[in-house]
Amino acid sequence: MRLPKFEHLQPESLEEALELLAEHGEQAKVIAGGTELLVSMKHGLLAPSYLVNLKEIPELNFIAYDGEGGLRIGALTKLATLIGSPVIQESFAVLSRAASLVAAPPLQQMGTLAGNLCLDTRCLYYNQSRFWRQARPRCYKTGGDTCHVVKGGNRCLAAYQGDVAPALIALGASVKIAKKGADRIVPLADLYTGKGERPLALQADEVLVEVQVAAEAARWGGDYQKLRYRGAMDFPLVGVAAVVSRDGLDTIARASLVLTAVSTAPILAEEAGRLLQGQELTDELVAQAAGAAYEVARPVNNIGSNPSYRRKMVRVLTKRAIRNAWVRE
Amino acid sequence: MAEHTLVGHRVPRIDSLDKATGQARYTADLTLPRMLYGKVLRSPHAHARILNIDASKAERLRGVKAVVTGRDTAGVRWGVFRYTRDQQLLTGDKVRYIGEDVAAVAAEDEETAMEALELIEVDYEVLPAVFGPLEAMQEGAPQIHDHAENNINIHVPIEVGDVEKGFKKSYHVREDRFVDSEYTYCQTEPYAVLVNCDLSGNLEIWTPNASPHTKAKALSNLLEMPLTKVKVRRICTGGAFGGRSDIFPGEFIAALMALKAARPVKLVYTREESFTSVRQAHSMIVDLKTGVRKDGTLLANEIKVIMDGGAYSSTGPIATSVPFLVWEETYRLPNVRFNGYRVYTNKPVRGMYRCHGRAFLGGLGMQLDMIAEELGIDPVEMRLRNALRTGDTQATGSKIISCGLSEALQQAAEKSGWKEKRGKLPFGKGIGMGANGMMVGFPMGIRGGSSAMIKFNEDGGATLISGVVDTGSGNDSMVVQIAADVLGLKMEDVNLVSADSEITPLDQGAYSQAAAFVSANAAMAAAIDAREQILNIASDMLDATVEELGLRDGYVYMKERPERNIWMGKAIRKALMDDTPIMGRGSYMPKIDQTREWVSNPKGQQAGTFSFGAVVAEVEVDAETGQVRVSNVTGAHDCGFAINPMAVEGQLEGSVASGGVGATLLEEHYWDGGQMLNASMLEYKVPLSVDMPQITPIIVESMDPEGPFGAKEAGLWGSMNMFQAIGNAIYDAVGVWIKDFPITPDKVLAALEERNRD
Amino acid sequence: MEKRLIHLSVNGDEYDVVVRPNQTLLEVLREDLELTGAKEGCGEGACGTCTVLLEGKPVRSCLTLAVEAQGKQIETVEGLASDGELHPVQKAFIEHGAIQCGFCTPAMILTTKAFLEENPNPSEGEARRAISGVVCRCTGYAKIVAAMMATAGEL
Repeated sequence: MRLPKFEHLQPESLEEALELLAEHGEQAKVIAGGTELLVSMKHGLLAPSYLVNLKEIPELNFIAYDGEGGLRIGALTKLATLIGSPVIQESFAVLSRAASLVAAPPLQQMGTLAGNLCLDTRCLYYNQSRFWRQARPRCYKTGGDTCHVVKGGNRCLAAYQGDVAPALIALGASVKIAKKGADRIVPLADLYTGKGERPLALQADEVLVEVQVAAEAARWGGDYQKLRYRGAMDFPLVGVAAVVSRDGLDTIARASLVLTAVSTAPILAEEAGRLLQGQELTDELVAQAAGAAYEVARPVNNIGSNPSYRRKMVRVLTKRAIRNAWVRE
Repeated sequence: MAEHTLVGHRVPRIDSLDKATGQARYTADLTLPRMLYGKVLRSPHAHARILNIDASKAERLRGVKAVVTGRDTAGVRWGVFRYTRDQQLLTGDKVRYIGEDVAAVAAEDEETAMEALELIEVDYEVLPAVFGPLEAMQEGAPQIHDHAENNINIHVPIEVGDVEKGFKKSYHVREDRFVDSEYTYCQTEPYAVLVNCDLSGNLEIWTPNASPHTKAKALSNLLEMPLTKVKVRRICTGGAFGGRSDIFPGEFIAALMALKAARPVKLVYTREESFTSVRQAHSMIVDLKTGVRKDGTLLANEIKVIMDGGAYSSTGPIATSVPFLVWEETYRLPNVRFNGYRVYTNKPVRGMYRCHGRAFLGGLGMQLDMIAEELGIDPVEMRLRNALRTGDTQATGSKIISCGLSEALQQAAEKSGWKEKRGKLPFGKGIGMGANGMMVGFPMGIRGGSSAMIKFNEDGGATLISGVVDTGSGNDSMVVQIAADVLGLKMEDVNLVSADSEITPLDQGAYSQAAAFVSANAAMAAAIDAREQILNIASDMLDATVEELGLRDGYVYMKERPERNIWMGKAIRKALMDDTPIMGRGSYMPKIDQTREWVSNPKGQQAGTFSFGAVVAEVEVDAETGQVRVSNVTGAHDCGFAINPMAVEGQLEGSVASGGVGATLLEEHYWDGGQMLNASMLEYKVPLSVDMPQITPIIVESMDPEGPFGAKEAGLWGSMNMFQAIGNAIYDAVGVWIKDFPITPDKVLAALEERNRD
Repeated sequence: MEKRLIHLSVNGDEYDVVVRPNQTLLEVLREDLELTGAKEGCGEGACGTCTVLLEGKPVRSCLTLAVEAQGKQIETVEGLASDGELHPVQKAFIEHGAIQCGFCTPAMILTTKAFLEENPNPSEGEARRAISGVVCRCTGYAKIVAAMMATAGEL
């Protein structure tokens, strides 16, 4: 499979990269690990005229932690580096666990944190070759006006299947987004539009440069549960991240549950978290919270396995994630 | 024969050095001077009439050297059998599945070829299509081929004994339906072909294949060229599993383009094309009715299977019969009726697969366990009671000359701790058994035999020329090991020339599990012939009788006085001087009934011998998610004799992946009508290293009287009985029968929920 | 699209190659340098047969741009044996029968080499995980894992 034509731009600093993006706008795409982008380009899903390569920008590749400022991770940090980081393993276990379940070790070696967070939504009718797609009318995600998954559907329902985002959202992470001459910091959850066609709230000239997690999160327990048919490689069919903190011995101070692969964006299961807050953990309470998570999951038949099964699994995985997170707290 | 220095030992394979160092060449690795790159235009419609193809713009594109369409084929049709010639390899009038070959381009580079494809205009009249065999058989269903009423492609009826009487006499009768969905070989090497032609009209072809002679004969027919001009060359093949035997449009199209452009053409398929436009495996709907005595003895079987064959016949008659044959090769069946239907649908073409018939064989093996439970018989006992034995005759008339099935059943049970575990493990853990017999070779007419030659160099080294084909399982190494052993040489002193339709003699290929029995027998015969010639010469030189002599380490020696010896090179040189050069010659044709035919006469000896095996699978089922993990597999296989035990074990281990974890639990295609939704290595789930259980192989040696050193086959060790072993283990673990393959977690969970509701 | 002259260091040999930006490292290795040990099994990063080592780490060369490999150390299976001596991983794969059709073998061997250099005494589970991104359709991985474990501690 061949890549379409493009010009390759190799900035040596973030400033230079932002300059290039400002100049080329929609015609440019940022390449980090390339594990998703190049596949999409081979399929003809994307055809940027310019690739702005961030791999050689050292200032985007770092992990920094201090007890007050919290955790800061450069966007270009490889998933493998993140997984191997002792501070993340010890204090933000949910994050290293989620990252360790992405694909397989060689892809963790190539893939970056920002690349994983900025994964495009996926669909069995979208992630296909040009030949394949030509056999049917264009769908919403490819610029048409139909959905092949939900007949008569009025919008794109492609699934967000990132593993790392739910863990970070559960930790309350923020992201720093830069463009030429300006930065903004937003909650990671706000990066996701919920629109299948265009799942990221990033402008063409913007780059996600840093992930930030508050220091207090280092004390919370967390877990990420992933359902997939094989022990490696696969995107999640369902993923659930849980982060809990304790108040005293038996009471849950705060709980955050985030689902992935069951909608067009990672979903914060707010009601589930609210049910847990200030309560003592019982089987009944865990079941209630899992039920609340189940309620907000909206899987459709677009990523393999059947959606009603996947939805049921939200319940099972949520229970397990809460239990494990609590033990680790 | 005396003690073996090589045969029976764990020896590294001769091909592994090249493969470990990157020197082994596969088709896509080859380039030739002035080579062109081919690309195929494929049908986006499941069923449509082609009204017109306008390729003129593509022909005019700079860098395009040949464009071919159905017009270039003179309407020639391909079929494995005379009565199945239903496929025009570059379609002319109609397209019958999404991905079918409509036109092709050869250009100076791949980009230009791809650009040219976009310039070919095809006018289609879209026709109603049908995607399931039951729908396709109904009155009024779209007719896919004019000749096939109700879209029935093949019907194999077999009846033995008195089935009605058998059921009447039965103490217990059970009926079940098992189904499965389509799956695929998914060899790691995508399909590729390179064709070279010269001005004398010689055609050379490199393509991953299981039988160069079969490919050459088909191409010679299709291109109307003499067989002597069509030369399929040896090339490394990245896995076959039954999926490299048939003739595919790719080699025909590349040949057409090479002839048209008078330049070499290479065509390399994408992974998606390899999924959709070569071959995949059948889905089936299987109805089973089984009657038994109180003690579990099988009295009557009625089996009806409907297979989705896709758009063309391929190896249809074989595919329709094999699951039944495997069943009759396992158990004594006094009264049995089989009706196999292979039905055309507007889906890609299906062929024979190493794990063919999971609903069929999985179904029968699971139904056997259901009956055993209803009668209170242990599943191992149930199998032992009905197992074929040496000297038995199978339902359709094949005699069993060696059979280690009972021993395999007993050993697999013993080594796996069956008695301590079956029915006694905690909820969620289970153990199950599967067993099967396997034909070693198919009736294949003149191509059912093999022959081989051995010549010598004056330094004592030898070259074995054999038609044997190695698609990855180690056949090349096997025949060298045998020849070297017989000749008292080291394996590195025996060169192999193999799998070249011009140079090497006829052979059935790496197909039908026959290489270790047929090809190896021929190689052994050639080596024995050469050995006798050497000993004859040496007996003069050493002044001894032939009987007094042995061959070892490149020397002929007197067995009683080993210090009296001569270097083999000397004997070879003397033979040359005497004008009696040593040339070993050997052949083997299995003793089968050559009048047997798949459809018209499915009776008589169908293979020279049969192999047998039993597996025990242990599983852990997560009752909340329905996920099944296979934790252990113990397999016992009667391979006759293990020529290279390491290679034999490797076949079981591979079978546990493809037949067990893959075909039983993971692998299936998703569809929207005729469009495959998961034609990719990411979405089609082949097992990964982390999905595999611990595997304990047990080799049972029944020492076949016909086999070389007693050998039969090992390629299908476990791949056809893993389905039932895992299905039965799941029942033992959580008490539900899943009758729909693959057994994915959603199905397990649904069955558990249903049981809890009841 | 501008062609560029890039410098590649492969198996210790230095090459100047003219490439287009849209050429992958796999294409350049196979087509320009005629190093065909790395295979294209899918072109999408899913099968792993295109694995080469970049700065000692296994990467998908089908998803690596050739221009990105400029100035980096690249190792392919062809470069593993030195002075006529096979690499211990190659030896172990041959001796343990870990090779059948051979199409995934270069990727498996390179992945093993990189893994064992980083983790010389792994558990079997760690070894399985290390190769979980490379598909083998023949061996069921059993003898590959056995070869990996046999080499552990030798590198």
